[in-house]
Amino acid sequence: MKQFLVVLRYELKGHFQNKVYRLSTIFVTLLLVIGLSFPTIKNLISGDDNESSTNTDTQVEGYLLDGHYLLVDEKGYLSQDVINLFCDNCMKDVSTQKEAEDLLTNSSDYDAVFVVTSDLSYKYIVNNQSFSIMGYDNTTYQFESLLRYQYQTIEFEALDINFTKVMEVMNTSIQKEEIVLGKDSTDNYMATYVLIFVLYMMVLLYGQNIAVAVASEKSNRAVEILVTSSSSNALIFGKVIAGAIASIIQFGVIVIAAVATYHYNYDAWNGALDVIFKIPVDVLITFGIFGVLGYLLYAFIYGAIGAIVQKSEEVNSSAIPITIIYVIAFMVTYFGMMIDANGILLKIASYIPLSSFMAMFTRVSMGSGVSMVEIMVSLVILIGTTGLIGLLAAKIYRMGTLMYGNKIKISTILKQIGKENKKA
Amino acid sequence: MKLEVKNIKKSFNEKEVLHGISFEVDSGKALGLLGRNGAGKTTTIRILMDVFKANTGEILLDGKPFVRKNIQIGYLPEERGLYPKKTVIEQMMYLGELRGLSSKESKTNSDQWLKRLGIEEYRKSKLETLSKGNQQKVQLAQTLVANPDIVILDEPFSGLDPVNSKILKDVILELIQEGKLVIFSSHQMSYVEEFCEDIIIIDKGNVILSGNLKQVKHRFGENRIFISANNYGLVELCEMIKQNLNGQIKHAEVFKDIVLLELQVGCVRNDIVSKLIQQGIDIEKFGVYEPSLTDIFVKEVGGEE
Repeated sequence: MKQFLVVLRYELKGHFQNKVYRLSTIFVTLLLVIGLSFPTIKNLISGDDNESSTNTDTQVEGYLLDGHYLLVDEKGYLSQDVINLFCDNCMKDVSTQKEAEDLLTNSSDYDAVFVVTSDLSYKYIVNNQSFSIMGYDNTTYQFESLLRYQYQTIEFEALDINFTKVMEVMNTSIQKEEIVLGKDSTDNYMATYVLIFVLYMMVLLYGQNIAVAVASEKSNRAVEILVTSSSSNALIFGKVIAGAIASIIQFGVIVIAAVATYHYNYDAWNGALDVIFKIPVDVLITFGIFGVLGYLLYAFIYGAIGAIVQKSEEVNSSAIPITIIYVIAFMVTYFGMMIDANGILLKIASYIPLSSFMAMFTRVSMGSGVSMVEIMVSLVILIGTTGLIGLLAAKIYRMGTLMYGNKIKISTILKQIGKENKKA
Repeated sequence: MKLEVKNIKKSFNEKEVLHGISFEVDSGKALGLLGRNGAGKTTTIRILMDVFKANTGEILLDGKPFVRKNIQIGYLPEERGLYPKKTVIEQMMYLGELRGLSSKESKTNSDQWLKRLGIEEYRKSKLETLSKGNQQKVQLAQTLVANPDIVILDEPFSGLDPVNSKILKDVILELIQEGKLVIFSSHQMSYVEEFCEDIIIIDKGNVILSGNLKQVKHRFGENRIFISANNYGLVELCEMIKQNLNGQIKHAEVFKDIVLLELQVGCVRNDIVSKLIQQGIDIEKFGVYEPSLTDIFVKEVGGEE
């Protein structure tokens, strides 16, 4: 145990001293903090902040014009009051179309010209037609809303009907209370997907790191000193668990920073990212247990791969088979999640250790009717397999790392381990 | 403390590489473990270090089965290697703690050995920035950091200049004087002769020679004399001796700058001298031949090392 703690401390220190580890943690954290603060920063720069939200109360929700425009309304179809409902000082009145076109051509202050030709028709003049994300320019849609609103106001008033009242009736909000018997898969969909993807990336990145670290010890010959100074169990378990702790700390720092930033900027986001950040505690606990065990399982396998190869450059090619298996496990879970979280595909995958840590977590998070017995059976299989693979990896580490020169077959090592065990 | 290795056999992939290795060594003495490359020295050492298990045979310490984890062993492998990107003190402390020292003890011992070997100025340097000789000294320092009872040194002098070799030689002599049990493997026979009271020569997994070095030398020198003459060349002299002393010598050969004679049992050295003088030979050198370890090694193992 003491040796394990010594290895753990040494390896952890190595991770924390690693510049790539520190810089990548800082970089990703900063990126998320800046990204999640973006709406607040944007509001601060544009000066919209509180003032704009006050104005919004008097404006027509969903039809706001965003930009600066020139308005030619010779007959005065549009009233300033109605325009103010749609935007705040966004229209500059110009007498003629010619004057407006000149201004638009020579100044970059304006985005377009609206020439109102009747109460239900207009011309839209732009220098270059722009496209929105959805593939069309929604400025015209918003202006048409404005024009329609003006027309409706006048027509209703002609009929002696209070249009504001009509709008209130028309826009009456409906209160919905949704009751889902069982689990609503859509609730945790995004959170489950994000967590599984993060786990997927962590295993791939740290698994490779562990394999390269073991292979490096072999290529720089430090391994002979190590295996004759300590038990191989302490060495491989120390290395792998140190990698797990380092990655959990890195992940934790990033997540805490992201959650804190999101909460700080919650008003600016208006709860838009709740689907990602408001993860139920039971889902997080399940993710923690299954995620850590799955990570350790693959980390041990990658450690054993590092012991088999001769040089760290060979790690990538030797790790291809297990990487393919891992990608398949991820894809099975992902498609299982998309198709049916209670389906047979995820059920089978949730008992196979190489995929159960993702599949069982997904079932618990999104599916319904997962009994505690099922979870415990899957967990016991996963713990047992991880422990056995860990011990096997330690044996392979001891045997494989001392076999220099020739390419080592896994079958050769396993035979050798079998013989050594018989002698012991 | 007495370490006994008895009839160790080891196979890899159905091929037996050690065919029954036996030797013993006491505290305060050094055993020279000799053999050509691939003879089985490293495999023997790795069995001692519990990296492999032997197929058959036993290892005893003071008559009881040897349990690796119960004894502190300092091992300097032939395949040198530590962490090139880590500082000297960092990895020395790590290895000290792995071998059971507390953090404080490990630091104290590391500093002590770095100072003893004259490399304390590099304690915070990364290993890869040190010269080969200084890296070799760090390797030796890590071997001794946990104050081991048994010290196994595999080619400890490789890569060292004469000044550093002298420092290492003094350290090894100190270890022997302190009562450590030293197993010393090297191809540099002069060092083996200097340190080792006992030797064992392994060839192709077999012990072909073992015992007290002085006795081995005496045995190889027994009934052998050497001679050279001022008035004859070596080849001429050798032929003359073969013709004229046929009944008294078993064998005569030119060896380096002398003629080496193996006498028949019961033959007296004075009679040989008298007869040679009678033959008109002006004797330049004459004496009882004591072979060097290199001579013994080459004779027993054959080929060049």
